[in-house]
Amino acid sequence: MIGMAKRCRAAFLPVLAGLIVLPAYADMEPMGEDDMSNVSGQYGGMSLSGDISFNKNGGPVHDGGTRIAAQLSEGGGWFVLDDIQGTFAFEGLTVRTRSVSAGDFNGAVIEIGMPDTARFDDFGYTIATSTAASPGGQQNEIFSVEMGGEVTLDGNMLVIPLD
Amino acid sequence: MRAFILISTCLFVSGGSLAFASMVSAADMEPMSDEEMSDVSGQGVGIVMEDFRFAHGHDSGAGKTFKLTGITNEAGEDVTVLVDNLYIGGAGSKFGNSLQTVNLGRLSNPFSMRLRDGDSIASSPKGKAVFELAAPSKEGGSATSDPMDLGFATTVQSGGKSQKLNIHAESAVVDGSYIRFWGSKPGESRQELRGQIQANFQTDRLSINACAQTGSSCGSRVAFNDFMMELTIGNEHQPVFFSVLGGSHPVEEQGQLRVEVRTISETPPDGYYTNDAYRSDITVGDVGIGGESLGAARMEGMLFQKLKTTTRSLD
Repeated sequence: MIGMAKRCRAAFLPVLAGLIVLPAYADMEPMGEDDMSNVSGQYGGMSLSGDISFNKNGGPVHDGGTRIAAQLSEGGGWFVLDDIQGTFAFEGLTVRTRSVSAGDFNGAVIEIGMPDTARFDDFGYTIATSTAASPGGQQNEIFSVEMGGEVTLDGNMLVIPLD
Repeated sequence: MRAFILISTCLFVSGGSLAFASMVSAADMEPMSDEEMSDVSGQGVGIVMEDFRFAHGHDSGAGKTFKLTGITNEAGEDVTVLVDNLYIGGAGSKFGNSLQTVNLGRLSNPFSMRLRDGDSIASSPKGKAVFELAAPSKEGGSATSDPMDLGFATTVQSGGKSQKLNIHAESAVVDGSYIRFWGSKPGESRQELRGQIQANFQTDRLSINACAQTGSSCGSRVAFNDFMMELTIGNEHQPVFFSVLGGSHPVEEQGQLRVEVRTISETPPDGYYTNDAYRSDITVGDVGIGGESLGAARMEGMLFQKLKTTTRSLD
């Protein structure tokens, strides 16, 4: 019942399109079976820095940004998140697992540490409704949001599975 | 335990290109047992924000932009809303001027996103899978979350004039709020997305002012002290329908958003019109305007029997 459509298909988040791993270290030694068996990935973590750009300079087919459309009723129009574009840049975002035993909770949680700095560059989107999933229908743009510059974003996001 | 894998990542998505590079070094990890693995069911996730605060505002001098556009006034002129400050922080944040941190949700009672069985939840449709976004639930009928301060300060530029409009909530909680969605069965008369909304908002003071500054020295403040809202829209007998009107509607209505609660079509169950769970309450301990107290205001036991809102383009 909810359909999805996207403009600029080639530009719509082809995440995981490429993966290059560079283990650029010299003098490495082979790892023993015992060492290997201790590696599980459970309490590991990582720190991420980088930026994500959506159609910053327009897409290959259209000038605008990414478009996501959802049809809420059979034969009806579409609710649209349109012209998603810009860059979100961050430094020092951390991802790790943490064991918590507090009050009536006891278990492992995924901890996403908010970045030291987070910045939007020409980031924006438009909320609209339209008669068509693709651009070209009768579209009513409700409002557009534009964001730029450094944002205050502190703390940790803890994620747990629920039954 | 505090092992770290350092990965420097460069993620670049534009016009269909992506590069991802990583360097890895690791230590001191522990294996995950079968029992621990079996506890993971994947039906939903709980989210807790720890020591959290967020703020962003428009400040051209500091290279910050935050604005809402695409709105027109009655004369057809463009309206720009500059968001001077949008913040979420802990209690005592002084209208965003001294932003404190806050814990939103608890691990034993988190914010959640999950798929639930309609049979197992009261006032939700039987025999349906229900997608739910929920705030922490109330415990023993009371909100127990840590209070947060949140606010939205704006400058509205319309027709060459510019006005301030600021809304601040101090020590607010949203416990017990949720939004649930479900689909229609094949053959059902309305093939539309349906849902129910429970919007709970409790705050020590909700204030609205048009002052140039966001500080507390503003005299022309409208304040709702001890504000409590529990808004219930839609239930299993009268769901809220969400739709964007399509080709079967008149041309001027096509592409418009409609949110609708239809009159009840079935014979309602006994007690439907007296059941508090289907009713909305808004109470204010004291309404104050510019420091003058106007006393308490209460609106209780409101049931939405019919609601139909449709957007209309002014272009």
